[in-house]
Amino acid sequence: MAVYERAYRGYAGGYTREASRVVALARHGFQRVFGARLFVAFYAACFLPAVVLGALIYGSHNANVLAFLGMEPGSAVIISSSFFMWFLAWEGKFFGFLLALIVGPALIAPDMSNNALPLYLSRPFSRTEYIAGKLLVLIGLLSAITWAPYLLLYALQAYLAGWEWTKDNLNVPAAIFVGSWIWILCISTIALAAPAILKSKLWSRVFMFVVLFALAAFGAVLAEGLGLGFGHNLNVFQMNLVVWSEMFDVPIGDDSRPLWSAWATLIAACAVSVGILYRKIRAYEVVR
Amino acid sequence: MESVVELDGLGVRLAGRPILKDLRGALSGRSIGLLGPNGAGKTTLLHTLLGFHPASEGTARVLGRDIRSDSKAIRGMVGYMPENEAFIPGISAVRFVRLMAELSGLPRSAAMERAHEALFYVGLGEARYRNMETFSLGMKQRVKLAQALVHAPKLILLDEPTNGLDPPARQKMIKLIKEIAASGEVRLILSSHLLRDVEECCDAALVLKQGRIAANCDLEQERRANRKFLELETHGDDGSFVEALGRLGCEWASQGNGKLKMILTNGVEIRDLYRLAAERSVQIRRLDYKRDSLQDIFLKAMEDKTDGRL
Repeated sequence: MAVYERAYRGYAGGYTREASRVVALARHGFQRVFGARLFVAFYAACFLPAVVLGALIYGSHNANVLAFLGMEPGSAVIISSSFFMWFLAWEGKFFGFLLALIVGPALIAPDMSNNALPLYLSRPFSRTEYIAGKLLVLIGLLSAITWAPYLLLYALQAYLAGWEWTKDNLNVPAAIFVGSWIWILCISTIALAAPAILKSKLWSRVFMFVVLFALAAFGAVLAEGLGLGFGHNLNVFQMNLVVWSEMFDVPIGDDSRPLWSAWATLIAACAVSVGILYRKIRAYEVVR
Repeated sequence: MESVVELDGLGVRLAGRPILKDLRGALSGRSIGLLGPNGAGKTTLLHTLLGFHPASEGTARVLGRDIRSDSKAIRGMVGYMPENEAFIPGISAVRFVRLMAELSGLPRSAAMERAHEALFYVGLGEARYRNMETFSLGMKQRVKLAQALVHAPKLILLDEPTNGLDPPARQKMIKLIKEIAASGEVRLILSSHLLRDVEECCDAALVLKQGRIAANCDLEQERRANRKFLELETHGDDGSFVEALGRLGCEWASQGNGKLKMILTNGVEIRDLYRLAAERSVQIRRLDYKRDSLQDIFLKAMEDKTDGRL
């Protein structure tokens, strides 16, 4: 199709590997989300907990800062695995959730509501690759505010605190990494499944918000009011914290549900979301 | 010519209802029209060839690849323009077409280059940086065509490409489709319920009726075969004229009042008729090719009892 001739011509060049097509879709997703200035501002704010933790780590090891604050070395904040867990929980539960709430529906809903799926799926590009491409955007964004900076902060703390502290907190890096991934996968799949059902950005966000918080409230009523312990399992946020407390070895004062049931809740949430995605992400829906 | 699609007892059931039933035969030709009334199964057939719907019985081969086992490879060789409005909102046409090219496996630079070229080719060069949400229906149709051909497929499936277009936009679309078919680099299947679109663009046609094949014809052959049937209206003494026609080997039948039907034999040209008429002082006042139009073929197919075979 030379422009000057305006005539149809074939293509004799090479083709990319199949895996790189998933990356192409993810790249397109990143371009779209970072195209909105408001989102860029929000995303910058998502690094706030990590910046605060970084400042605390640095300050607690800096004599000048401690002197300025009138504190003695050792009497300042004690950086421990508990510190990392609660900061990560703040990051994931608040900023991570909001990020997924904003980005997830914006990735899928426009394709669903404008019949774009046949255009994607009529290419050598499967449903799995489509879902993976969209998931990659959320995973990338959430990773950049969770495990990636927190592992760096752990490295900083280990460097400043020395071998004794590192030896006592060897479980923390694995807990940061694995714990973040559990939450990222859980919240990302939920954030993609909601628009796959509702096909609208706004209603998907409302749905996600209402379902997660309403389920948690309903679960609390079941557990506290009716004495049905499994009600706590409806609170995905709490169940995630139960899993994290085991990984970080930090007691959270909630032994209402066994660890296995917390895992089961998170796995079930992911499985249901993935099931919905596979059911709804189709070129055409057959009307029964 | 090598078959584009081979149907081997293909049947498709959707929601438990049979939509396509025991389709058999081969579709060959540079551009193939897929005709049929609404609900005949045209779109379902295209979707099945693309792997959107599984075959419940039998199979089909597209460019020699089986739809049951090589669905992804088929989609790599095919460009598809869906019937409904389909686009990604909030992005420019060139970004949209580039993304589609990249998903088909073109490297980034080649995808960008061909996205620009494809949009120029379909006449959207000046509008390629505009957000697609601001496009008219005709422009959206042309973007859909651009994304279907950007990766240089071997076969393009066009599902009702002139749907909802005004006459000038329809003419532009038909012209583009004819150009693509004439390029010889790509073959196309055009699904439409508009006989005129198929007649203008296609050299073969498959007519579907209630999920079965009602007719499968080579339009070029039909055109050639029917070229020699003539209807004449003459003025003057046509007795010696028809005798001369007989001597040339042409079959003829008089309908009275100077009206004649005849079949030209090989080697006899139209100008020979005018020469014979002039020599006998007979005027030829009207001369028509009598040929079965696609409409005749279609109507006949709709009347016939179909058995799903060619």
